[in-house]
Amino acid sequence: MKKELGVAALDAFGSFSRGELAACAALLKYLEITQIGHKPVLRPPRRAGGAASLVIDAATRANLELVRSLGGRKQGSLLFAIDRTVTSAGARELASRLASPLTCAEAIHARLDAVALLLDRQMLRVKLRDILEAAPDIARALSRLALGRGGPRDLGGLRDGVSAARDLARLLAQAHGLPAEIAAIAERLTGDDGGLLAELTAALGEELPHFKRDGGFIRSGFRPDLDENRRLRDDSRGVIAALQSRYAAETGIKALKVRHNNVLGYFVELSANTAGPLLAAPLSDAFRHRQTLANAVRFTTAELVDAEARITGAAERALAIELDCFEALTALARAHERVLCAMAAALAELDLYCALAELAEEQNYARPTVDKARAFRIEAGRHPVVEQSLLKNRAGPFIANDCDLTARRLWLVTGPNMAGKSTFLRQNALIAILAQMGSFVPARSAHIGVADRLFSRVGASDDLARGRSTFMVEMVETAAILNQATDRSLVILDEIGRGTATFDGLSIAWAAVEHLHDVNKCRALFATHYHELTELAGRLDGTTNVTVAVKEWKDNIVFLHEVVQGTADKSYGIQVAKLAGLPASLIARARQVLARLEKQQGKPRPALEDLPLFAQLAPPPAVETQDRGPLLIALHAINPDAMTPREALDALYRLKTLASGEG
Amino acid sequence: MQRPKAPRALPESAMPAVQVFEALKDGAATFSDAVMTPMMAQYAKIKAAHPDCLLFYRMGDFFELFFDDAVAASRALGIQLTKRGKHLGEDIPMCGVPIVRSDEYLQKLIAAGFRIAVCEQLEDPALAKKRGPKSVVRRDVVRLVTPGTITEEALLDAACNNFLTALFKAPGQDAAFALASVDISTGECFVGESSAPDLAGDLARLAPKEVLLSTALDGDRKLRAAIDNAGAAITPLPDP
Repeated sequence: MKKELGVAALDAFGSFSRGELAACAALLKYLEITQIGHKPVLRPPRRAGGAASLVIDAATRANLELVRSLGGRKQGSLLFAIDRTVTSAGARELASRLASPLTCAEAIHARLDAVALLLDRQMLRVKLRDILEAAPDIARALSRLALGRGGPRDLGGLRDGVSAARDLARLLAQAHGLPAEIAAIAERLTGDDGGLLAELTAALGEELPHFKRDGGFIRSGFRPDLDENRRLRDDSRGVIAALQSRYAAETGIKALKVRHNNVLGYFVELSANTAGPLLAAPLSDAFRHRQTLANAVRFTTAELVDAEARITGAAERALAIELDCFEALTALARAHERVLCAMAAALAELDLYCALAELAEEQNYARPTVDKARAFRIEAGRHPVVEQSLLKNRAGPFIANDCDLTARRLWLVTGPNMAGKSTFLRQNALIAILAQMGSFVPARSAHIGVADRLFSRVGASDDLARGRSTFMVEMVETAAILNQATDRSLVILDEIGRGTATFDGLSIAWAAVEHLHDVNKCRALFATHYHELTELAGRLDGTTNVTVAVKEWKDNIVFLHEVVQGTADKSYGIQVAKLAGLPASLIARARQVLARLEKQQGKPRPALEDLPLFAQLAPPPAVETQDRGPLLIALHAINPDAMTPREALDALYRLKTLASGEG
Repeated sequence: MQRPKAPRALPESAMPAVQVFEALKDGAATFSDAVMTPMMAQYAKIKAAHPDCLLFYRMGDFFELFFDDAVAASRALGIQLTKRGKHLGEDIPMCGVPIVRSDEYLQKLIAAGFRIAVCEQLEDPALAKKRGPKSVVRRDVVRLVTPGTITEEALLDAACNNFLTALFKAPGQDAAFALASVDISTGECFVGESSAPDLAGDLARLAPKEVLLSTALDGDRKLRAAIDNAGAAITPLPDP
């Protein structure tokens, strides 16, 4: 592998474990098998993942729609909304950074400094982006050339790419006070190309063919022998034209034409009724008959055969010289691939920083404060994707909301469906990701203590392909969060426990909040329909209740999309159902049922969906049993009248086990 | 995310070509000119070396596919299935794609989950003719096209890396996975370790197009599901 990477020691890139070396070896072996004799361009390996980057699990990535929407499209994803890059390489860099936000506050700061400078120096940014826009994809052109699949346009890509790099470097050299990231970019843009740019400029013409076999891409004046053969080829074409007029004069047949095909080469063609004189002496001596078609007769002459040989020979030699130049230029490029790769990376990063500055200006984003504290304080935060979509559809302004998990680190968010709970949850997760990848964020201000892991459990989707129900998926994901979240993590949970029977769900949600608060001690947003959970805010000191405000107006609700302290007074399920267009008769009937259920319950229950028909059979709310310990809870759950003797005996054993566990 | 399709099971055809090629490889069968033309004999030999790929066999301005390959490709590409000559008394199914449009067809086949072996003519056909009337143009496979090793503009998403990832589990270390990734269209290489709980997230982060899996990991259903979920094709690791 050392040989492949062309370095004396891999240690230069940091130490690698045996497993990593084995994986690298497997890659190289596979490249050998598939590329058969061609060595791809390989840059020095970089470390990825691990503690240096924010760990985001697969479900969270999908749920937050980072690079793809849940429907699998680019549109609607965070990446699509924030991409202002003008080069493919810049777009790839953005996608890569969005996928791996950092955890090191200093590194994040360095990136933010770069964005801040380019935001501040608008004129410089405009000039840089003008050049970038025309800069080709150096990395991909070089890679194709290395694998023998390149064409003249790839060489042209290198020429224009290096030339753009030089122009960008000149602009940056005139600027003062560049932050470290930009200075490092400028340095790589000026890397020594060993005269490659000069050579490519001297060799390549302006209009480049797609395939090298088409020829014509080397500029005249670059190789004297090429010019010589081209002249021979072109002169001979003049000779053919001269021969045609001479033959026409000699034979007196004006319609005589000299044509060319691959079988006969150059030949004289006459229509069947004018060919007579050439078939008879004396003309038949010079014009050898070759072919008679339905309405044409074809002849060759010694002069045509001779011209043919000279033209083909010269054309073949010219092409051979061009291919020779092509190989030489490719070899020269490969000899400088390190510099070219560094230049390609620098172009990509510069485009990325310009793009993030452009985005910050256009969307009015703020520079976040990122440090090692446990803070999470977002002032007037917005959802980057929803905000742009509202603007595009002229659907009114996005209502910004604060979020502060610094002192009270767990927020319980209640409010009706449609009010914007999920949007609020997601926007805070997205702001954290943007901040840690080194972007400005959609907020008036943001102070974020770096998170080590980000989890989100939002929305519910069946995974029927793998035979898992909605509830099972939800529980598997929740288990992963509760097992892995640390006190540095950020957790977004939306309606845990919704996929099962009310009290089961409520109990699970309740226990999950306690676990997050007492054990994980992470910063968390927990949206729920179980209004009973809001009681927890009084018991757990790190918890507070917020709700998304609505206004009721003549049996209808108006969504204010404003997150305020407190709890929702009710769920407004029927009003939302009405908005959704359920039939009026059905809505009226639902109101009747609700009124009766509330009356039977003695008092209006806070949560509408806690009123299924079996509510009366339900055991006392888990709330009251919570402090009594598992033995009492289990005892309470037993209904001797409904048990077979066998079940009763089993229950007794279970209680005994619980009792011994407690003692 | 769309699941990449597994390579299609080839239909039972009148021509059990794969068995014929296998038999050839083992030396259990030989070709005689009575059974196969010299060209078909050359084809069969090359195909036998790449049983898991569709063989793009260069003939002049076309890549031709024969036997089961032709049936599968014509179906996946929606192109005409025709025939060329006979083998064991049966027509040989054939389809072809013009060289100038081959990128476009490669892209469709890769997207449909196939791997392709590109077999080129390695000499000027005129040279072969000089050797005698029955000699065939020298040909061999110059490249395997797989989802993780493409470099053509037409086959790639310009705004996306195209990673090939090798996944390795160090013996003795129960939870540690090693990942090495390369995008040969840009030269970028990444190396890192992952734990069993974080592996699915790390694969989703890289979003590789192809994952090399050792036989030891090949049977791990959870792992295969995670790779599948990340949108990558799975390729068994070549033996060291």
